[in-house]
Amino acid sequence: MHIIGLRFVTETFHFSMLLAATAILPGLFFLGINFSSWIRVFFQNGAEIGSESIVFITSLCSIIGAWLGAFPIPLDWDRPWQVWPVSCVLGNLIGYSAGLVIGTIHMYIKYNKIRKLKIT
Amino acid sequence: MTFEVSVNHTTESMGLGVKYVLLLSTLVLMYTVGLLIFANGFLLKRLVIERKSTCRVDFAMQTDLHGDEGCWIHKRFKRAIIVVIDALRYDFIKYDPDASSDHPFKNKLSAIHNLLTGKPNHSRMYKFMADPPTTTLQRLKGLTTGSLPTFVDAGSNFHSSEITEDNFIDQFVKRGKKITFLGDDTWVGLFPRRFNKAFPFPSFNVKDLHTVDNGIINNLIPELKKDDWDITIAHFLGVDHCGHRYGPNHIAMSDKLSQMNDVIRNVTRVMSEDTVLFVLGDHGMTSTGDHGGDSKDELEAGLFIYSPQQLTAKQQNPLSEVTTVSQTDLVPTISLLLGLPIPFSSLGKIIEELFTYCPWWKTETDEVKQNYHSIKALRLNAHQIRQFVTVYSQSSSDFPISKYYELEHLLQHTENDLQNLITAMVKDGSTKDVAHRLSILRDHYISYIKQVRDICQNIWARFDSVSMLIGFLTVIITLLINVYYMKISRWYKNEIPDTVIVIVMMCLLYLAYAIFQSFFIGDSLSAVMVYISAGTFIIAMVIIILKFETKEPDLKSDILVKDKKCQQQSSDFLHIFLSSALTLLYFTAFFSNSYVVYEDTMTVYFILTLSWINCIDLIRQLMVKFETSQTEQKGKRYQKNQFDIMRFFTHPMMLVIFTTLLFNLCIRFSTNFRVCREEQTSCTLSLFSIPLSSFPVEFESYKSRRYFFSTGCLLLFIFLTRRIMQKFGNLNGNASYVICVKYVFPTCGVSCVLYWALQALPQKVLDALPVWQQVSLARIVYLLVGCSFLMLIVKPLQIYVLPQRKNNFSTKNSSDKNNVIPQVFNQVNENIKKEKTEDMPPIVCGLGTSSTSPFVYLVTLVILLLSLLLGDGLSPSLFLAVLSVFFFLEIITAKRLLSKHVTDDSMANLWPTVVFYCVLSSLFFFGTGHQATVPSIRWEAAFTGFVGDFNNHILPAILILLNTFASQVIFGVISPLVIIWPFTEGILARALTGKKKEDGWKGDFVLVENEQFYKKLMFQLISSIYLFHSLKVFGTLCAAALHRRHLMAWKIFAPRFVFEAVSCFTVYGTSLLIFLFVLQVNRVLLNWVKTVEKSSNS
Repeated sequence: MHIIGLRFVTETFHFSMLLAATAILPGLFFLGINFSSWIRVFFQNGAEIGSESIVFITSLCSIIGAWLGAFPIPLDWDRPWQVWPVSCVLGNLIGYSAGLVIGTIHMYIKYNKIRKLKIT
Repeated sequence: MTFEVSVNHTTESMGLGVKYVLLLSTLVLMYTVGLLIFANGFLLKRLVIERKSTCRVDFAMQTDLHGDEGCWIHKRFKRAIIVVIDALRYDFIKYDPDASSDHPFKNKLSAIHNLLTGKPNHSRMYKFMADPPTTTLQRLKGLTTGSLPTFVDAGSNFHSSEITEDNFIDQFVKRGKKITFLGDDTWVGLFPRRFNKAFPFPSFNVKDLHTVDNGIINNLIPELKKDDWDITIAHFLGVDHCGHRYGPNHIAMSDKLSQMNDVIRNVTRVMSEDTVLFVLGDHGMTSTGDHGGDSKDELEAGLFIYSPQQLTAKQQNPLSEVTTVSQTDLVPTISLLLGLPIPFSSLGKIIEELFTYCPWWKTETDEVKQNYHSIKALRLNAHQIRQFVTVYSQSSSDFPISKYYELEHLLQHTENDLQNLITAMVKDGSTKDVAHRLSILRDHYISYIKQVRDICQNIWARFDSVSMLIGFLTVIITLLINVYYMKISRWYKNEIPDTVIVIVMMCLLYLAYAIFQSFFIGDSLSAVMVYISAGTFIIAMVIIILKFETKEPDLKSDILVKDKKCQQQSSDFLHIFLSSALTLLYFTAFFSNSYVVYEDTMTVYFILTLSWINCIDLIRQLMVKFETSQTEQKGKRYQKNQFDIMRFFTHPMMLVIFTTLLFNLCIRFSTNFRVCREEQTSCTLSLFSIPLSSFPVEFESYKSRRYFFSTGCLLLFIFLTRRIMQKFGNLNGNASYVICVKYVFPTCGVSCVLYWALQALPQKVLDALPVWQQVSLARIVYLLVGCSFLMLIVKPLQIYVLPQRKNNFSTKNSSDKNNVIPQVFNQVNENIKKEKTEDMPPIVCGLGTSSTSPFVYLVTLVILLLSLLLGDGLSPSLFLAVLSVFFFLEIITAKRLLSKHVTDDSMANLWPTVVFYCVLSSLFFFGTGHQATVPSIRWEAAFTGFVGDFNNHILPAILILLNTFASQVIFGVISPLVIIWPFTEGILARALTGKKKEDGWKGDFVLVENEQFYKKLMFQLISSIYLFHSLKVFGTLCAAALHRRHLMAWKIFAPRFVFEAVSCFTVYGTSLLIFLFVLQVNRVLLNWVKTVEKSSNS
C-alpha cells in the first residue's frame, strides 16, 4: 500500500458510490439494461423529451459538478471542505441539483415548442 | 509482413521541406529572443562598484590607533582562522540537552559546546542568517564582499568567476598579509592569485564525501603550526555532500560531524594567543539535505567565534536567546577586528558585542567605556556605508534621492550628538546619563545601517520594465505568427503563401530593433518606437490571420458537401473547444501559487479529463457507424435474448473503455515517481527517487525488488520494440540497423543495468574501485548509443529487398534419384525462360512501416540513454511514458480508421491531439521525478560515466539538462509518430474499431506517396507543439511579471518561469532536429523509390 501510494481508499470509495448514485442509478431506473438505449441516450444525442432527457442532463451535470469540485482542493485556504473528496461530493450534489433544475426548464421549453407545433 | 510495391509517381518538391525548416527556425529564433529579453529584464541584476576602500579616510580618528597598528581602528587580533563548514545548519552547532539520540546530527560538535561553557568570555555562538539564494557561490560572495546577492548570479554557479568587487580577501592581500587556503576550489576560482598557499580540492563531485575533507585535515594542522600565514581559510565540503547524498538524518552525517568536531578541537588546541577562530556554515540544508531556496532550514546557519584571548567584556547569557546576525555582518567584523578597512560595498553591520572589550583601555569594569568602544566601531561602519551610498547614488539613479538626504541628515545629527557627548565628557567628566545618551547614539547608528541595507535590498529587487515589456510583446507577436503558421499548414494548397516572406522580413527587422533596444541601449532612452512597431505588428498579424482563408473558395459554396460534414464538424468543434478551454485553464493556473505548487497533480487531472473526452469522442464516432449495422441485427438480438458476456467484453466500445482505463492506470502509476516540493505538505517521499546506495534501512527489503523491477522494465522495453519491428518486417536481412536492434541494444541495456548495480554499492566500496571500472559501463552505453545514432542518420532506410530467386534449384521429385541432372538442367532452362517472359515486381519487407520503424529505433536509443541518466529508480517511468503514448497513439489510430478519407480534412486538425500530447509531456516532466524548483535538480546526473573532474562545464550541463527534461526530449522524439503511427493500423486499433485489414493496405507508404501533404502535416504538428509549449511559457512569463512583488516570487513564480523557458528551448531544439530527421528519412525513401522505378523501367 505504502509503495504505490494508495491513500484515501475508503473516502474515494464512498465518493464513487455517490457519483454512481447520481450519474448511473437514474439511468438504470429508466433505461434498464437495454444496451442500445443507453447508447442512444448518452452517445447519439437521441434522448427523448421526458424521463430520458432528465436522466441525460442530471448525469452530465453531476459528473461536471464533481469535476469542477476538484478545483479548490490545491488552494491554500485551509478550509475543512477542501479536503478530498468533500469538495467533489459537494460539487457533485450541487451539479445534480442544478441538473434537475436545468432538466425541468429544458423539458418545459421543449414541451411548449412541441405544443405550438401541434397547434399550428 | 510483406506486400507488393506499387510504385507511384511522386511530384518533386525539394523546396517545400527546406522552406518549412526556415519558417520554423524563424519562429524558434523569435521565441528565444523574446524570452531572453524578458529574462534580461526580469532576473535581477545589481550595479557593481569596483572602488576599493583605503586606509586613509577622513572619518577615522587617528587617536583610535592606540595599542597595535591598524587601519581605521586598532586591531585586536593578528591572525585569523576561518573554518567554513559547508551547510552547517544552526541546529548542528547548537547544543540541545534534551535531544534524543534519534537525530544523528544533534550534539555532535561537543568541542564548541565545551568552549562555550568553559570559556564564556572567549567564545560566542550566533545564528547566522544567509540571504537567499543559498547556493555556495552566492554565499561566498556575500561572506567576502558583504553585499547582497541577486538572482542572476545564481545562474552562474558553475561558472565561478573572479570577484571584482571589494572584499576582505583583497584587503588582506593589499596590507601584505599572507593567506593560506585549503578546501573547496570555488575559492580559487573566485580569488585567483590571492592566496600565498593554496590546497584546492574539486568541489563538484557531490558523491565524494571525503576527498576534500581528508585533504584539508592532512594539511591543516601542519600549516597552522607553521609561521607563514596571517589568515588561514579552510572550507570543508563533507557535511554538504553528505546532506546531498544521504540527507541530514543519516548515520553518515553523525560520522561527518564528529570528524568536524575533531577538527575544531585540534585547531583550538594549536591556536596561539593573537589568533581568532571563526567556524561558520555558509547555509543550512532542508530535511532532504538540499539547499538553494529560502526556507528557514536553508537560511539558518551557525557561527562560532573563539579566541584564546578575551573576546568580549560580558559573558553570553546561556539562558537568553542566541543573537541572530546576518551573514554580511561577518565582513565588517573580521575587517575591524584585524585592523583592516571595511570593504567598500559591504552592507554588513558589525557584531557590536565583539568590540566591547579593549585590552588597552581597561574596559573590564566600566560599562560606559565598553559601550563607547563599540560605538566607535559602529561609527566607522556607518561612515563606510555612507561612503558607499554616496558613490552608488552618483553612478546610478536607483537610489531614492529624498531618502538619501534623510539618511544623511540622520547621520549628521548623530555625529553632532557624539561630538557634544565627547566634549561634555572631557569638560565635565560627568557620567550622569552618559550611558543613556550612548545607547541612543548606538540606536541611531544601527538604524542608519539597517535603513541603508533595506533600501538597497529594495532597489536591487528592481526590474527593468522596458526589457520586460519588449520581451512580453515579442512573445505575443511570435504567438500570433505561430497561429498564422498553423493556418498556413491547413491551407488547401500544398504551398506557402507569399505574405509569409513579408512577415518573416518584418520579424527580423523588429527583432534587430528589439535586441538593440534592450541589450545595448537599456533603459536610458525611451523605447516608444519599439512599442509602436510592436503594436502595429500585432494589429497587422491579427488582420492577416482573420483574413486568411484555409478552405478552397469553391468548396464553400458546395452545400451538399457541407451538409454531410455538418455532424462530423460539430463533434470536432466540441473537441477543439474543450482542448482549447483546457489549454486556457492550464495557462491561467500559472497565476496561482497553489496551482503551480500542485502542478504535478493538476496535469494528471487534465490528462485524465482529456483521455475521457477522447474516449467519449471515439465511442460517439463508433456509434455513428453502429447505428446502421445495428438496425438489421436488432431483430435477431431480441430473438436470442441472451446476454453473451464474451461478446460484451470484446465489443469495440468496451475495448475503447478498457484501453482508456489502461492508459489511466499508466498515468496513476507514473505518480509514484514524483518527488516532493517543499511546499507540498502532505507529500511523502517516493521510494523510487532515493538512490539505492542510500536506501532507508526500514525499506531494505524493497531494495533488490526495486532494482529487479527496473531491470525488468528496461529489458522488457528493448524486447518489445524489437518485437514490434519484427512484426513490421523491418528486421530482415543483416543490414547494420538490424544488427543494432538485435545485438547492440540488448548490450546497451545490459551495460546500463550493470552500471546501476555498480552504483548501488556502498560509497566506500565504490570509491575504492579504480576509475575505469566506475565509468566504463556507462561509457559503453554512450559509445554504442552514439554509433547506432550515427548509423541511423546515415542510413535511415530500414527495408529489406528480397533477393529475387532467379535460379530455383529445388528438386521437386526427389524420389527419382537417378535423373537428377536432367531435372536440374530443365529447371535452369525454365528459369531462364521465365526471366525473359515476365518481369517480377521486387518484393520488399517492411515498406509499409518504412517511415515508422526509424522512429521506433530512435525512441529505443533515446530511452536507453535517458534510462542511464535517470538511474535505476526512475527509469521505469520512461517505460510508463512510452506505454501511455502507445495507448494514446492507438486511440488516435482508431479515430483515423473511422474517418474514411486518408488525406481528409478530419485528420488535418491536429490541435486536440497536440494538446493531449503536450499535456502528457508536461505530466511526465513530474512523472520522471522532477519539480520546477532549484533544489530538485538532479546534479548527480552529471556523474553518470564521469568521475567528476570536468575541464569545461558543457558536458555536465548537457547531461543534467537531459536528465531534467527527459520527458520533453522523449516526447519530442516520439512526436512524428502522432502522424505516422495511424497509418500502420496496429492490431489494438483494429480491435477498437472492429475493422478488418483491407487488401490495399499500404501503411505509412501513403505518406511517401502524398509527400507534400505529409510535410504539411508535419509542419502543422511541430508548429502546434510550439504553440502549446509557448503558451505555457507565456503563462509563466505573465505570472512572473505580474507577481514580481509577490512574497513567493522568487520561490515559485521565477523558478517556474526559468524551468518552463529552458524546457521550451529543449522542445524547440528537439522538434526542429526531429523535423530535419523526418525530411532526411523522406528524402532517402524517395531516392530509393526512384532507383526502383528506374530499374523496373529499364
